[in-house]
Amino acid sequence: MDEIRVSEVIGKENGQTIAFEPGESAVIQMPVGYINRIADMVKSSQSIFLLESLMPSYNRLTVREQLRFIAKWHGSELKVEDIIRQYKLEPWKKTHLSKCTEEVIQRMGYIHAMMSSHKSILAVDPLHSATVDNIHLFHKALQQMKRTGKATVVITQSTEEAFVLSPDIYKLNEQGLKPVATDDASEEPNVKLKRLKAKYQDKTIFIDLEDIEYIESSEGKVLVNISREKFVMDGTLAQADEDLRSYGFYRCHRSYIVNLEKVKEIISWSKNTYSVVMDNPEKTKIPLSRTKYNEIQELLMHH
Amino acid sequence: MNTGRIMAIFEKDLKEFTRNAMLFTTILLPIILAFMYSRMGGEALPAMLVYLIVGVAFSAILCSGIMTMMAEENEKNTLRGLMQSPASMLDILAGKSLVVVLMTAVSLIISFLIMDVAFEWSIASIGGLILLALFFLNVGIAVGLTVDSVATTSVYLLPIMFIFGFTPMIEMVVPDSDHFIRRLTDYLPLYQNISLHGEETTVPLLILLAWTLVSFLYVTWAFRKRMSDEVK
Repeated sequence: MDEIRVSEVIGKENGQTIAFEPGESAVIQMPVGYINRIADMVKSSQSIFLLESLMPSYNRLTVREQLRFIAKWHGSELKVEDIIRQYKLEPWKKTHLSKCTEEVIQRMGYIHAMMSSHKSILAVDPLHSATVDNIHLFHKALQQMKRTGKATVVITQSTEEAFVLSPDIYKLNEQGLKPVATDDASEEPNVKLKRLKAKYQDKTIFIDLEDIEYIESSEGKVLVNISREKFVMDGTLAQADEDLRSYGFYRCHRSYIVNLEKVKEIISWSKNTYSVVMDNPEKTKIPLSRTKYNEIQELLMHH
Repeated sequence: MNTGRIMAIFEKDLKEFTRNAMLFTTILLPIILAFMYSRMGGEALPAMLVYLIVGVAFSAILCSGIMTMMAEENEKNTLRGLMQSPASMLDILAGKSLVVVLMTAVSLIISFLIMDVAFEWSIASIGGLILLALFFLNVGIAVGLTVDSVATTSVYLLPIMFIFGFTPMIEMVVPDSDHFIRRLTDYLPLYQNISLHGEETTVPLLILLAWTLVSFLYVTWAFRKRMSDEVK
C-alpha cells in the first residue's frame, strides 16, 4: 500500500501518514504549499498516478484516439465507446485534443485516472474551475475507481470543494492530519430556515418565509397562503408551528399560524370572538383564539 | 516488454508522426535528394551518393524522429500517467523505434526505386546497414531521453547530421584526401558502409561494430540517468 508521510509534508515531527487504502477515497483540505510538496513527492513515485486538474494530452490525437490509446496502454477492459457515452463525450469524440475545451481536457484526466492500471491515484485540485457536469462526472469516476479497488486520495485547497466530494473530510495543517468536525447536532441552531417546501401540482416549490401570509390546516392538509394562492405542505401544523416559531410566526388558533409581519390589525367582534386582519388587498381575516388575544398583542409590539 | 503496450505506443505515435508536419516532411528529404541525383547523371549512381541518401534518411528520419518524439513527450509531460516502472519506458522506446524504423524504411525504399540502385547487396553490406541503423537509433534515443524540449534537440541534431549523416560531403569541403581531417573522417561509420562494397569487409565491419557499441553505451547511460531522475 502506498502512503505519504505527513512529517515529510509539514516538515515537522509527525507519526501520521496519508494512506492509499484500496477501494477507499479520502478527501483532504490543505494549504497550497503542502499540495505542491505532495505533488512533487508523487511525481517521482511511479506507483501513484498523479491526476492534475488539467492533464497534458496528445494534441494531435482525437478524443476517441486518445481514449483508445489509454485503454490499450493500461490494458483496460472498459469499452471506449461506453466511456464516451458515460462521460458525455459524444460530441467531442472526433475532435483533436488541441481544439477541445478545458472542460473536456479535465474530463479526459478523470477518465485516464479511472482507466489506468495504477492502484493508487492522487487527485490534486480535481475540481478546479470544474463545471457542474464535471463535478458529477468526477463523482462517477471516483465511484468507478472505488469499485475496481483503486485507492484515491483527493487533495484540495478549498474546503467547499472538499465537501462537494465527501461529507467526511480531513484537514492537514502544521499540527497534522485531522478529521473536520461536522457534527450536525451542535450546528443546528445556526442552520437558518429560509424557505418552506410545498407542493403545487407536480412541482416542489420553495417559498420564502417573508412571502407567507398565513398557514392553515384544512381537511387534514396544511396549506401555505401567499397572496391568494394556496400550496400544500408536508407535515402537520404543530410541526410547522415548532419550526417557524422563532421566525416571527405565531399560532393564533388551533388551525392557523400567521406571519406576524403581515398582521395589520386585530378586531374583536364580540367578547370572545377576535380576528387577525392580514395586510393584503383582501384584508383576510384569520380567527384568533380567545386565550391568545393578549399574547399576540405583546408579540406584535415587541417582535 | 509488453507487446500490447508497445503496439499501443506504436499506433499512437504513427498517428502523431504523420500529423506532425515537421516530422512528416523529413520522409520527403531523401526522396527529393534521390530524385535530384537520379536526374544528374545517366550512368549508375556511385555508392557514395547512395550512402549519402542512406545517411540523410538515417539521421533526418530515424535519429531525429525518435529524438523529437521523445523530446515532445518530455516537454509536455505526457509520459507521467503512463510510467509505472523502467519497463514502461522500454515499451515506450520500443514502440517509438518501430514507428521511425518503418518511416525510414518507406522513405529509403522509395528513394532507391527512384534512383534505380543497381549494385549488389552483399550480406556484409546489409549487416553494415543494420549496424548503422542501430547506431543512429541509439543516438536518437539517448538524446531524446536527456533533452527536455523539442527546441534543444536541434543543438544535438545539427552536428549529428553533418558529421554522421552527410559524411561524404566532407570530400567537397576538404578535397585533399591526405589532409588529417580526411584521414580522421575515414573512420566515420558511413565510410565503413561504403567500404563494405569493396573487397575488404572485416575491418570496416569491426569499426562499424565499435561505433554501434559506443552508441549502446551512450544510450544505456542516458537510460540509467533518466530512470534515476524519475525516481528521485
